[in-house]
Amino acid sequence: MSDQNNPNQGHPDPDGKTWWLDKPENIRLIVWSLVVICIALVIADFLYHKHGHFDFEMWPAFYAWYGFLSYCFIVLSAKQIRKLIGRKETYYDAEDSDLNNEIDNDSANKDAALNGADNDKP
Amino acid sequence: MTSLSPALLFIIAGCLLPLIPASTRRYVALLVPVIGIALLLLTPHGSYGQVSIFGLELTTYRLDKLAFVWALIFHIAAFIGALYAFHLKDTVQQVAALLYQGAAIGAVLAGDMITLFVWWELTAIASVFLIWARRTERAYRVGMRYLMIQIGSGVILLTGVLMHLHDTGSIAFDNLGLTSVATLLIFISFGIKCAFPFLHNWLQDSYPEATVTGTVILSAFTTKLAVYALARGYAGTEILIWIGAAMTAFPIFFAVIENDLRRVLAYSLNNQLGFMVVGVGIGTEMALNGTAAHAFSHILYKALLFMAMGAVLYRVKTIKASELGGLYKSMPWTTFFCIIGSLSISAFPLFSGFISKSMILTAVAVEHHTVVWLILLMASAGVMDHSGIKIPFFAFFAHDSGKRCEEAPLNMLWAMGIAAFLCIAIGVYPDALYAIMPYPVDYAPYTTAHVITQLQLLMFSALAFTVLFLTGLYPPEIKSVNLDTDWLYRKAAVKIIAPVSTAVASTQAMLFTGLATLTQRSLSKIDQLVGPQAWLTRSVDSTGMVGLITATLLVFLMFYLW
Repeated sequence: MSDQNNPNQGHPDPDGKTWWLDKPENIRLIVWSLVVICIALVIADFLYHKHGHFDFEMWPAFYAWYGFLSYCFIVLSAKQIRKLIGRKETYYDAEDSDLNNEIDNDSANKDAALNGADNDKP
Repeated sequence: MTSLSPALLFIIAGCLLPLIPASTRRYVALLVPVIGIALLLLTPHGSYGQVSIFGLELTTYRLDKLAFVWALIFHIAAFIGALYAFHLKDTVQQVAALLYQGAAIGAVLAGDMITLFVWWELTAIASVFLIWARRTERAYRVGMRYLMIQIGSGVILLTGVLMHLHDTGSIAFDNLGLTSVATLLIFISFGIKCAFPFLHNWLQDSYPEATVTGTVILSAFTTKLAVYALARGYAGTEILIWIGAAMTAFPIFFAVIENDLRRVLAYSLNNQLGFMVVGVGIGTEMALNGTAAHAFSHILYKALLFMAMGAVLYRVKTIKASELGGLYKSMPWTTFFCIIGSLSISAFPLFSGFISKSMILTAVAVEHHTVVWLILLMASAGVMDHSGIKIPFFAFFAHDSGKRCEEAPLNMLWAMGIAAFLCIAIGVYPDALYAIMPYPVDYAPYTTAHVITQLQLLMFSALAFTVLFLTGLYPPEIKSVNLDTDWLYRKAAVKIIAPVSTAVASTQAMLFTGLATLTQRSLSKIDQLVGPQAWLTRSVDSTGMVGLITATLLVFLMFYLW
């Protein structure tokens, strides 16, 4: 399990505030809601008259499992492709692109910008 | 009633902008698209601005139903872009944006291909300044690569147009079809700007390197102009169906593993263009309506997503997924608008993507292109991943990065809010959009089957994400770059050319050294003969001279007196 999975393993909240999404039980609530919605959508599939352009559209819950499998296929094959084409961040440029982000920053602060006092040039 | 081209308004305003006091420039940038829309609405459909140059009949302004859709959304995008950049004081970006937007509108309204070419090249030249405005060495290099490819596209276009003129005697910009070498060249030129597979990488290379506001503006115009050009010139060209299908599919794999979230959006943009290109390839009235509607809604939600990511970059100073997370605590409004953009691009019911993308898919189904349809459906699940989940999840939720910042500036929030409102408005009331489509719309998006099947596709994709993420199978966000076709010219070509250029340089050096030695020797020989120290031209000491003359005079006097 990667450390992204648990929101509590991130940095402690600097404000000392606990947010609704910080609680694991709420995450579980969201996950289970999703499961319930998915089950409901499969049941709904049998409740209306279908008339698709293709025969396979008539298969039970075609869109559901096609979506699920497509998603897994895309993500898992991309993970393998990464081994082939993934490179270090400095592969093309020695410099880190984050170092260049000063151009749009607020140093020409908001008030100045609103008064038209100065320029966004660093 | 008027027939003044809105494109000219943008160009004139752009040229005069530097003369206007700095504090009023931003208002001008906001006002120009508004006046432009008024001009557009007041112009009856027809052809205007006919001029004859070198015996060629140019139609510089043609307004019809197809052109109107693009011209209108370009104006809306220009307004939203100006509002998003309202805090900026950078004249270069303000001027570049107006010229670029004007050029794109002019190209859409061009009635002949010479006029098209002129605007086509101006979009390239004006837009590069939105990248260079970052004023870094890195941005300079990206801009050069971008410019070479964009200008190259224009040169190919001009070649094709001139050959077409030679073949047919016509420069009219109407349906061309792939019938000759000339039309093939024009097709390739459009294909470069439309980011066809293998011609695509300029987009992912350059857009994420532009300024915060520049990327938002860039995302709307160039590629959609190319879609328009294809719809105008190559509707019903079958190969476009396959090109488009490939475009929807391959970028989604790159988007999954890309760390720079604005680059994820650039791949996503490429994938969305694929749907439009498929629509052009099908070429039926429904498909072309689908392409026009999708271009319209796409510009709005793509701009919205780029605006949200731009706001994050602006506040946090990075847009790498590996560095972000938990930002919903600091930027709740941006998070909210971003999620609306995500729902729209994923085509959830009641959002704009739902009513536009489905027209293209239905048009494909009606023509019974089974494989293409399955690819598009798979790509729709892919959209759900990279734009529906990855963008909002890793920026605003996921694990808390501990980063805290201010909410985005007010003008950015307003721009995002307007775009979000339009995304929902189109989704809830599609008839307004359908009313301006190039052909009469006979399509009802909100059927029970459509809503349920679409929700199945999307919710089960979300379920797949949840399963993969909780089991740790989802690829983690790591600091990295991924190779794409730009590797060919950024690394491979350099490797091949490097020895050649070294050889050229050393040969050159040898030749020049030889020449220099020869010249040096000749010069020193001449110097010996006639130089300042040479016997022939040596200047004699003046004291000696005076002495000599005095002596001569003395001798003379002595002889005289003798």
